[in-house]
Amino acid sequence: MSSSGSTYGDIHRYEPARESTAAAIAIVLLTIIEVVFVFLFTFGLISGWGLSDTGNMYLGAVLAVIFIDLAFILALYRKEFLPDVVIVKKRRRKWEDLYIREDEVDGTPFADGAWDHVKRAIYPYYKR
Amino acid sequence: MTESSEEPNAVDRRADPADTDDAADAAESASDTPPSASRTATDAPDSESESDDLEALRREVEETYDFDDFGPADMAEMSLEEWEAAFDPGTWIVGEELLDRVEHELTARVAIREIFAVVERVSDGQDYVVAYSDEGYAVVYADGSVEGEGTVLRDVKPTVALCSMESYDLMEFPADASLPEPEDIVEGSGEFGNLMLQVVAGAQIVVGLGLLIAWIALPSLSTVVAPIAALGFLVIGFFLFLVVANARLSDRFRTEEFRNRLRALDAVDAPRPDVSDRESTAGGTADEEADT
Repeated sequence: MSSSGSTYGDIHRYEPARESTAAAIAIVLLTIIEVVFVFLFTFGLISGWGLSDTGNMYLGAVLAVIFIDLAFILALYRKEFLPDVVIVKKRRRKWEDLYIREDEVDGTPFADGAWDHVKRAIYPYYKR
Repeated sequence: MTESSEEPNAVDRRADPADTDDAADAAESASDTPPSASRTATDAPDSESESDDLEALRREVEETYDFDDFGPADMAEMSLEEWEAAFDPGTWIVGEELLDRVEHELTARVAIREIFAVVERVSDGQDYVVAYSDEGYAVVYADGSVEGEGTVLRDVKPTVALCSMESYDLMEFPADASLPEPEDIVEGSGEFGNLMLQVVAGAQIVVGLGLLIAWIALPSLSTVVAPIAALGFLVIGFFLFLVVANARLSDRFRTEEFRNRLRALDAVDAPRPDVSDRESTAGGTADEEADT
């Protein structure tokens, strides 16, 4: 099977980035907004906008726009400008691989009865 | 099914009691591959009484086992007769039609790059479908049995199980469904996105540095917000440059790796790669296997 050890890192699929026109336009606009707002924030901070109530709110809003815009840029970049790559990796053992019997597929009970559950929740070492 | 004439073996096996072990094995592995060994009485309804018996047995089985909650333990409990009564192997697609379906489905899955393999239909005496890559192979026979090794086998097995089901609709695939040529894999896709990310990162770094210098130089700017924001911008800019560098570097390695793999596939030009063939052609992987 795949556990022979020699297939790890094999590239199973490599599809070039999609780079659709709409995505390109969107990322350019978002980049322009990002740059403008970053400079606006710095300018406002240096000019002391934050010292008045309204100006402080305004500066906060600008910072929020910077971060949200950056999030959208990264999401778009990930989706449209990175190649689609699938690599063979080792499947590590999961908890669900352990001690599986047919009647234990939903896990083994932690305690029997509601009161016992309460006692074990309060004191974990209660009667192993 | 109508292809029973394709495989006279199936009828023989049905009459041969020595083959029951074989059939039981097939039944046990039914979740992976369709039970291949036998066709039941649906092909040849010789006598009324036989089919009546079968009906009675089937009803009995339906009552005994709860198929809504059916597990391996129930399966082990079942006798072969009960199994065959409950699961009519005539409902599986086998023979020529299965191979057609498997070939079609595998080609479609290669086209959407879900399986990395070359799919071929071979007919020297016996008809079968072969899928192979540099890391393994799988051979699908007309009776639905699959043999092979490696990741290809793992990917092909569920496909065969799906194709043997009547209710499964095959996937469509485009005209050019094969794996790409090694030369067609170009690195540097998404370079425009990298450029945009660099613009953003550059702006962040410039602003961060500017803010830091302004905080040191301007006596009017004494707020602690300035150096914190400067540090934030610098960190973001550095991170974005790192993202771009990583994307370019890994892209270079990955395209090269994928090209090598496709070339290795081209090198395996024998129609059916047996073990010696694979070791001689895929030299690098054979060495690695020797190491482990």
